[in-house]
Amino acid sequence: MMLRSRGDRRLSRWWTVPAALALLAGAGQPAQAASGEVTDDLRAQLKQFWTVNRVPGPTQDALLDKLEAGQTWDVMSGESAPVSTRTVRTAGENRTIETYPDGSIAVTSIQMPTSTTKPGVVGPLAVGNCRTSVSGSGYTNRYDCQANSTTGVVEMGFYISYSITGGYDSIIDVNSPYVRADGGTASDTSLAIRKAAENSTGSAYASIKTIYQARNGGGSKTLELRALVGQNTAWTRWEAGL
Amino acid sequence: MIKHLARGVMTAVLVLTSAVGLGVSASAEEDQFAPTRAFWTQYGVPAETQDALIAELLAGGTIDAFDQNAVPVSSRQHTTLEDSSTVATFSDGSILVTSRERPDRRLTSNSVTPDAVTTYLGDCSVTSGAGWVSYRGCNVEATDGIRYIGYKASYEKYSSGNAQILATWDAHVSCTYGSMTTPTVAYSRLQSTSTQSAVVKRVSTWTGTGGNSSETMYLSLWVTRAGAASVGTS
Repeated sequence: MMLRSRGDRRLSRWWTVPAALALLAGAGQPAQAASGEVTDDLRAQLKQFWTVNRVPGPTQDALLDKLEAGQTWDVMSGESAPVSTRTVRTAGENRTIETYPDGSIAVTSIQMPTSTTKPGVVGPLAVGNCRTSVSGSGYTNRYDCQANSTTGVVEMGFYISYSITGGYDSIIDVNSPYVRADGGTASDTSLAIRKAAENSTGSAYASIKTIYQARNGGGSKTLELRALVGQNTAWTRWEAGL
Repeated sequence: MIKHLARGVMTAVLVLTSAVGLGVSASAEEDQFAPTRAFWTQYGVPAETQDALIAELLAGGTIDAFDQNAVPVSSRQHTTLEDSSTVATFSDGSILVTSRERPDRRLTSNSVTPDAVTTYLGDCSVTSGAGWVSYRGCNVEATDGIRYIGYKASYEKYSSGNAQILATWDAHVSCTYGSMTTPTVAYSRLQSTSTQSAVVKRVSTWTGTGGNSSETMYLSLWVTRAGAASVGTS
C-alpha cells in the first residue's frame, strides 16, 4: 500500500489519478467525451474534493454548471480576490484553503519536516522527504519539502529546500515541478525562485506557473502556486491570472 | 518483468477501450475480450465473474480494480519460477496483479504489496571490489497499467564515502491512451551527501487524447549514502 499512502503525496501524484477509471468510462461514453462535457468521473472527483473541503452541496452544483457551460471559476479567473482564507496546521503540513466569491476554492499546502525514518527502514519514503538538517551554527535546512495546490481540475506543485536562520530566511533550491490537469490541459509550466532571500521588504518565495486551457472553452488562464519563506516558517499562496 | 505485467494490463485495457468505445458486435466483443479473459483465467477469476465484469464495462461502468480508492477484500501470492506476484481481489471480483522478481533477485527491500502501481529496479550487472560494489545497466521502471516509463541506470556504493549514480540512459515510454513525451533528466544529484541521497529524476508529460487531461510524470532513482537504492515517482 506504500504508493497509496495519503500521508505522503510525494509518491501518490500521477499514479493515483484514476486514469484507468476515466479512460474506461470515457471509452464507454464516446459521445460525451467528444462533446467536451464534464465526464461522470470528473464530476465525482470534484464533488469529493469539494465535500472534503466543506464546500456546500448547492455551491458544488452551481460550480459544475459553470464548468459545463464553459465558464471559468473565480478561483481560476484572476479577476476576484478570495472572500475567506482558512489555515490548517498539522504536524505534516501547513494548509491554506482560499474561497472565492462563487464558492470555488484553492487548497494549497507546504510539507513540514517529519521525524527521521526508523533505523533499518529503507524505501522511497526514507529519502529526501522534507528532511531537516540542523547545524550548530543557528540555522535549520529543510530539504525537498513538497508545495502543492489544487482547484479540483488543476493540481500542481514542486519541491523546495530552504534555510531557516535567526535572521533572514532563504530558499536553497526548487525542483520537480508537476502539473495534473483534468477537463483540459496544462502547458508552458515554469518553476523558479522569484526572490531568493527574505529581507526588510518581505519574504522569499518561489513559484510554479502553468497555463491551463479548458477543453470546453473559457480561454487559457495562467495559474500560480507560490511557496513563501520567512519569519522562520513557510506557507503557500494561490494566484491566478497574473 | 514489469513490462510483462504492464503489457498484460495494457492489453486488457486497450481491448476494453476498443470494444466499448467502438460499439462492436457481440461476437466481436467476445473475440476482443479474449486476452482479458485469458488474463483473468490465469489468475483464477471465475467465468461468471468475468461475464459480470465485462457486462459492467460494456454498460459504461467501472470495475474496482481500476478504482484507486477500492480496497481489496483478499490478497494472495502467485509464485512461478521467475516471478512472485500478489493478486488482490476486489469485492466485484476484479483483480489487480502486482509482480516483482523473486526476492532473492531483488536489490531493494521494497515490500511486495497490491497497488495500482508497480515500480521495478533490477537486472543489474553487479561487480565488486575492496570496499565498493558497482551496479551497471539496471532497469528502472514504473507503470500504472496505462502508462509506462523506464530507463537504465548505473550506480556504485562504497564502504566509506558517498554513493553515486554514474549515469542513466535509454529512457523510453509507452501508453495505451494519449501520448507521452520522451523522458528527459529533470533533476540530478549524482553523489549522495551526509544529509541527502543521490537522485536522478526523469520526467515525461502525458497528454490524453482530445486534450481532456494532462499530467507530469516522474520516475526517480534514489541511492542513499549507504547504497540502498529505490525507485520513486516524484
